Amino acid sequence: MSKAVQLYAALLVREFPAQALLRLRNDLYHQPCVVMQGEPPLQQVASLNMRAKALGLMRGMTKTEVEVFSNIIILRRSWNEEKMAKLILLECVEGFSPRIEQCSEDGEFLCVIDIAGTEKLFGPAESLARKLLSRVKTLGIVACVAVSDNFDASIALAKGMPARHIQVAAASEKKAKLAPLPIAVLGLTEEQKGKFSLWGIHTLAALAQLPEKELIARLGQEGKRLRQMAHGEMPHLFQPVEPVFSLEECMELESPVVILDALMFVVNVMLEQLILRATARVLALASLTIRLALEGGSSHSRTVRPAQPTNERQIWLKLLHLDLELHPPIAAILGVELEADPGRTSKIQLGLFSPQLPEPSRLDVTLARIRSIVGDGNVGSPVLQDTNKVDEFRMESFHITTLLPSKIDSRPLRSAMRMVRPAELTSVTVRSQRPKKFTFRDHYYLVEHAYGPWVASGEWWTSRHWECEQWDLIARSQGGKALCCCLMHDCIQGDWRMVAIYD
Amino acid sequence: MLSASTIRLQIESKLAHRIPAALTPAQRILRPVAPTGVPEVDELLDGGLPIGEITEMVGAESSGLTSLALSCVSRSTQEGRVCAWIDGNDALYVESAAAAGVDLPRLLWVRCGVRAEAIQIAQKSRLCVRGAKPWARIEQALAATDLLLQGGGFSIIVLDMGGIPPEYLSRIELSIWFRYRAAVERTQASLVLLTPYPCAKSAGALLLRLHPGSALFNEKTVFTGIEHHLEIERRRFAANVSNVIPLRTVPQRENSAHWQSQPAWAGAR
Repeated sequence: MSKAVQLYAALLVREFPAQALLRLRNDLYHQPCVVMQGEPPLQQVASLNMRAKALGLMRGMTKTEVEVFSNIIILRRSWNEEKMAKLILLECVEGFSPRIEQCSEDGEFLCVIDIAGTEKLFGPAESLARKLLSRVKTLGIVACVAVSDNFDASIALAKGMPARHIQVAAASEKKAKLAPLPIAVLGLTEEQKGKFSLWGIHTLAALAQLPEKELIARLGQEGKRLRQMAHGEMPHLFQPVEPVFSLEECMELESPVVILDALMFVVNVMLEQLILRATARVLALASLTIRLALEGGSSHSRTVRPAQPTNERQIWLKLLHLDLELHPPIAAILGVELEADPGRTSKIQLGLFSPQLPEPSRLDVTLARIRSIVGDGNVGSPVLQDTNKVDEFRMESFHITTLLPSKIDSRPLRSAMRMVRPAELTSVTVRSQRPKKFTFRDHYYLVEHAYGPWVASGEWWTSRHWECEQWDLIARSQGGKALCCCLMHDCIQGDWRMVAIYD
Repeated sequence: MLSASTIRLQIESKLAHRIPAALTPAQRILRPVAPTGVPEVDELLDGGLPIGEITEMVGAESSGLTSLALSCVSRSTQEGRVCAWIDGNDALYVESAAAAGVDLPRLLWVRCGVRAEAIQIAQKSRLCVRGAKPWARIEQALAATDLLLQGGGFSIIVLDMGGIPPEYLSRIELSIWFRYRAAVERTQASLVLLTPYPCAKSAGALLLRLHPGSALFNEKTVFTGIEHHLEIERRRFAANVSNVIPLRTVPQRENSAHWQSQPAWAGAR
């Protein structure tokens, strides 16, 4: 029975705490940055970018030592952002193979993916490695990829090469490529490092040449494992993880933000990443929830849901901006979290002879703008409520439907009513229990005909209980101005109100 | 043998000094219209309200402004189009719209000047909160109209300014109406302005004056409707039927229309 072909690609992201923070901070990308961890005054550099390294900064430095250098950007380590960046990387890698094993250590992200059998999808291993590297680069992260037929060999090769590089080691050339690598790539303990240093073993080639039995006699089974790893022949039981697909991004701000426009700059970068990830899965954003961590420990959450899923960043930004303008947070903002629901990238198929309708994405922005002018809940389609109470309706969000109405109605022209909202208090002269005169908006009217009363009541079981008499009046003012109106006599309070005018 | 076209040219050239283009039919521009749903009004307006223009309907309370506008919207929504009702005075009665046959999901209703807290206070107390100057709601209505016109896609946009005193409407800058005219010309929409006072001036293509209606007394016990009277006060594009100059005096075109509207409870008679 032939042995199954094995092929692994190791993806390594060095200085992960710094990269996870700088991923969403494009403005700091070309500046020397260090990430500090620990409680003051015992803060130490946990990670730093290449520009900071070039200036001579290194891990473990204290804040006082860092402050000796000028123009250094000091960031606080964010575990949330690192966790999010890890999830995003795993989700990105999942696009190449579903079998992923995570081997991250503190300060770096490392995962190995089983790419055996993916040649038909992504081409040869080198092509896959390039695609993986460029996909990770779009996330704002610099990494390196090593491909080998052995799990541990791929990790060792990845650890032994600089960033932005790829290396493919075929079975025949694996040993030659592993040979010059330092033994540190095997992840030795301090004790093992000391022993090898004492023996004068510095490279994997030197370690591989050591006799197996003598090595086991001195280091135990660990010695055998290290020797197999140096040969690139260590067997490994693959333990895959299952990344969860969730469109989320979070960012902790260095200083509290009070201006909405400043917040939008941050949201813009986060949104770009979300859209990028959704697009990679041929999806669009259906709804977006923004959660703002505020000063004082409170939070503020808003959800924006356009009529159709879209990946138009400008539309999302405008909708969020208008919504936050209408519902501003009550305190300064310390952190931002975006969560999106994925939806299908659907398009409305319009017919050649179908009526012209508003463009859905543009309509969403227009409606959001109008909402910011007239207030929330005052824009939309009216829906009648199932009640006998006068003027009961609710507003629903306005959506475009391309379905034609079921029936074409040919009914006689109806007299419409214009509501007086709120109902205006009116002074009415009553004679023989019928209204005879009334005043409305500074005009004095004589009632010519009065129809009624139509008695109505309801909801006696709640505080909204109403009991009233409706009168339809045909009246004329002293100047001859006719008015057909509807007056309501509140039987509970005993007052008269102008409810509507027939028009 | 001369061809028919040559003969026609010869006759036309001979008569040119008396009747220009005697045998050539006059060019007619077919202007698209949106039917109002009221046969009498459609006949008067040669089909309905002009598309891509501003139509101004001017009238006092109980003159039939709302019922005519709702009828237009009803026709349009029943054809699968979407309409907008910008309610400058928050006066639209949803049940009336439904009774008029408006497909409510296709109607975008923008309520201007709604003060929820004020309404609650008014409902609880015996005080009347109305009387505040309507500038805010006028501004809201104008801004919303502007946005909808720029967005496009609505077949009828009704800007309802009914119930707002003329002294406020007359102060709306004319440039706003001209901007609306320029915007609506680029769309397939009709902008219908309901107002008690003509304010769009020459920006409007059609000005309809609705006179106060007279109540119908068909029944003794219930209100049975109103008879409306409409008159065309100004019209930019009148239909030109022929270029032949008649020998006798041309009879004046009918300039007004009458129709009746019934409340939902009044059955067919």
